[in-house]
Amino acid sequence: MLVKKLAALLRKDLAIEFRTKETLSVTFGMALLLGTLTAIGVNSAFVSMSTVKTIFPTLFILTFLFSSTLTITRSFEYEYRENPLQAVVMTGVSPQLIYLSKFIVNSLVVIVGLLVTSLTLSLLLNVDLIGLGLSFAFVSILMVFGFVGIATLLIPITFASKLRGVILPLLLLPLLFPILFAGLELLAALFDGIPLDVTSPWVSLLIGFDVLYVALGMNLFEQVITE
Amino acid sequence: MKFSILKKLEPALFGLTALIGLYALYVVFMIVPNERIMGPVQRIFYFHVGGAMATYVAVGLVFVAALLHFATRNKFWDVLGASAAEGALIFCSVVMATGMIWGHAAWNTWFRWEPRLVSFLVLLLILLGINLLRMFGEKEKVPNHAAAFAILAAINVPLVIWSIDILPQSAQLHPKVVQDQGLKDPSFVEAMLLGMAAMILLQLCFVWVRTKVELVERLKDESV
Repeated sequence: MLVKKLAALLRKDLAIEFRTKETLSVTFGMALLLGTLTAIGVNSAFVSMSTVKTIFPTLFILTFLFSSTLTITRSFEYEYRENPLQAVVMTGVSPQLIYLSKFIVNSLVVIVGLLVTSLTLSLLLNVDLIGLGLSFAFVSILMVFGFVGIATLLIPITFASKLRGVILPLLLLPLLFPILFAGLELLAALFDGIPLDVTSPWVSLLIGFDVLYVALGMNLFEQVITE
Repeated sequence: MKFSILKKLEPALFGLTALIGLYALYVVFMIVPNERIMGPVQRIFYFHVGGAMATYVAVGLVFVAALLHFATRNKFWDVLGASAAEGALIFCSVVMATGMIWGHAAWNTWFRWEPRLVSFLVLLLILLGINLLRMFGEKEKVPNHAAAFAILAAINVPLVIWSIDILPQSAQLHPKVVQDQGLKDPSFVEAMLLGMAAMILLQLCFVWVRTKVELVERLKDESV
C-alpha cells in the first residue's frame, strides 16, 4: 500500500518535472555555466597540471554545491505557486511519503547536475575521471543524498521567508559541513591515488549523516509544511 | 502556563550570577599566577572555555525548547527557543573573539585552519542561520520552521564536534588543556570552574530576561 502511494507520488512529481522541465533545464544550464566559469578561472591562473589535480576535488564540490543550491529551490516552485501540497496532505497521504517522493526526484535532478559539472570540469581541465571510476561516483552520490536530504526539508522553509532563495545557502551550507568535509577528504585521497576504503571513518561519517538527514527530514517535513 | 517557581527563583539567579561573576573576576585577575609561557594573555582561557560551555548550554536549551514546542504548541517554548538561539549566537561570538585574541598571542595569527576552530566557526554560522530564519520568516510559520531547523542544528552540533576526532592528531593544534592535565597550579582549576559557572549563569540570565521581554512584546502585539 505504502509502495503504491509512493509510486503514485513519484509519478506525479516526475510528471510535473517532465512537463515543466524547469528544474532539470535550469540545473543543466547552471552546472554547465559554472563548470565553464570555474575552468576559465583555473586556466587563466596558468596553474600546473599537478596543482589542478590537487584542487580538483575542491573546485568540483564548490561548483556542484553552488549550482545545485541555486537550482534546487525550483523543485518546490510549482507547489508554492499552485499550493497542491495541502491538497495532497488532505487526501490522507503521509507527509513522510511526500518527502520521500520529493527526495527521490530531487536526487535524480541533482545527479544530472553532478554529471554535467564533473563532465564539464573533467573535459575543460583535462582531468581523467574515468580512471577513478566507481569510487568517484560512489562518494559523489553519497554527498548528493546528504545534500538533497536536508535541502528537501529546508526549501519549504525558505519559501515562507522574506529572503526566499537567498536564505537557503545560509541555512543549508553550514549543516552540510560534515558531509562536505568527509566528501572532500575521500575525493582528495582518490586524486592522490589512494583507493577507496569503504571501512574508512569518512565513509561511515558520510553514510551516517545521509541516514540521519533523511530520517530527520521525513519526520520533520510534516511540521514544516503545516502551520 | 504559570511560572511562579521561576519568578521566585529570579532574584536568586541574578544574585548568584553577580556573586560568582565577581568572585571569578577576582580569582582570574588577582589570585591566579601568570602562566609560565604565555603570561597574562592566558587568562583569557577562563572566559573562552566558560563561553564555549555557555554556548553548549544555550544550544541544549534551543533543542529542548524545539522538542517541547512540537509536543505542547505552547508559545512559551517558541519564545524560549528564540531567546536561547540569540544567547547561543552571542556567546559563540565571544568564544570566537576570545579564541582569536588568544590565537594571535600564541600562534601570531588571528585564525588557523585547525579543525576545532573551523567547527566552532561552522557552529557560529548555524546559529546565525537560526536567528536569520526567525528574523525574516513568516510570522505564523516561524515557530514550526525555527523548531525544525533547531532540531537539525542541535543534533548536528555534537556530531560536528566529535567528527574532528577522526582527523589525525598532527592536524590538530587546539590545546587540550584539561585532557593533557595542563592545569598545574590548583588555582588554575578553580579559576576555570568559576569562569565556566559564571558564564553559564550569565547565559541563563540573558535567556531569562530575553524570554520575558519577548513574551511582553508578543502580548503587546496581540493586544493591538
